[in-house]
Amino acid sequence: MNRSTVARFSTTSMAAARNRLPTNIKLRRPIPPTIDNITVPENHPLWQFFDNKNFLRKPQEIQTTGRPWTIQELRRKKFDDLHKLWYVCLKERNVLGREHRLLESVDSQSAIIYEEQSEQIRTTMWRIKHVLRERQLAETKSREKLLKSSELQDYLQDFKQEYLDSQDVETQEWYDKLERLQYAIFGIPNYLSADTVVDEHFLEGVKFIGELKFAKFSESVPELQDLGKLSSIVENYALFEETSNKEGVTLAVKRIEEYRANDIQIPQEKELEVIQELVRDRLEVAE
Amino acid sequence: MSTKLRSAKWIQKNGFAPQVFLFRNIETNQVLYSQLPHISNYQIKQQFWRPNWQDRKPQKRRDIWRCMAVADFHNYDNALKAYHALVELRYLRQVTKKEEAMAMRRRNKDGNIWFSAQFRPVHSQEAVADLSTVIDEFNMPSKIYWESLWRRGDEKYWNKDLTTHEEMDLRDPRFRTVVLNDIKEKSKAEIGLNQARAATSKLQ
Repeated sequence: MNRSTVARFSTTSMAAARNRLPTNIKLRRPIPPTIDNITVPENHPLWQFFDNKNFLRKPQEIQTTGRPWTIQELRRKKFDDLHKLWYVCLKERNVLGREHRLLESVDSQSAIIYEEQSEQIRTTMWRIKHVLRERQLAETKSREKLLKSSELQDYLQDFKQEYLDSQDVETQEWYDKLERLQYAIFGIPNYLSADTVVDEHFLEGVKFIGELKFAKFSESVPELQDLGKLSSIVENYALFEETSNKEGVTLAVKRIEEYRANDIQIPQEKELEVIQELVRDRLEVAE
Repeated sequence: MSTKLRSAKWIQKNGFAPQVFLFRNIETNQVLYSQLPHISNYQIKQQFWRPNWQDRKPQKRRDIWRCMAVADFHNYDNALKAYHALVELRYLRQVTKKEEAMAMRRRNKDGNIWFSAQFRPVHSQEAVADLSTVIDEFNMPSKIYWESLWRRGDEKYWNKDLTTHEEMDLRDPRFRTVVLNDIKEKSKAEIGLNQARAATSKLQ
């Protein structure tokens, strides 16, 4: 390249030409990219689509002798096991799906082996769903039946008696029992959220739990005994909300005393509205 | 604006770093060198000398030019020199040593440059080869930020003592300017640090 050519690049190129490349410079061959420069992290999420980081398993490596889980077998498994099994199946289907797609794209005969295996796993998966649906239906129906029947009052009475008779209710076992009772019968979840329905059942639950704790702790917590009877839904709610141990009940007593100092009367027809308001306040504070 | 060749002084005065930017056309894989983190018709005019059906003159569409690499030369004069040399090498490949360059390109069975639709992998590979030529020829220390280290090619093509390689932050291409700004600031900070070190050593 001569200097007149260089000048065509720009007006200042002559100055730069002092540091030009030598005229006999040899062009290098194009440098192809290489994947050796890329290291894939061990924990890359897409590895879950590979079996032991193999690009493609051989057809002989695919287990074809097994069978899907039967519904009878799955019925004997608890929810956590079914949950794990579901994800094991899902991940295996993802691997098989990828391998099948690869072989299908080159019209390979063996692609069908991967597809058949995937279908078997799919059968297990719909059976898991079936078993879970069965359980859900059974739970819904039994709850509906219990709520409609006269046995409910007897059941609650028995539960109350058992709770009062128990020597030590400040255990995880009893906390769990109370949680289950309030959810199964009154539909009150352990953690309140914006989706929680606050209706008459909820109100009944608050009353029941409040009175239950009052009856249980009135002897062991003297401040509670000094209150006399619970006279308002707000008082029930204070007891309901606090933990079912002595410390919790003492806190509830303080709240009840504060409430009584205001001397507010709540008519029975307004109780639901008051509870809804209290739950809303609680959620706002939590946010 | 990158509408003409900018002197080292101009680049420094306007707050840019001593860098050369390699923009890649994602449709055709052609590469444009630029002194600034954007392109203009000036670069297209200067870097595509003999357009033909295998190496068309590209358009200045902002959506199809993506930054493939940023070569940081730690020194404004070196960056200018490197840019100029890259443009010169492009001229050699397109005009002066056209046949030599063509002999090194992978061909398809018709004897044309291998392509798929408008895409010719060889364009970006030649740009990478030219960048390594320039660094070796002028013995210039440099740091190259790659869009993906995959593009760097094998280690044997690079002088380890002169060049270090780094990958750009993995971001959405829409935020590429943010990444380029970060690289610019990093480079300028390093220059400042080096100057401070030099001044301190003089005092001692």
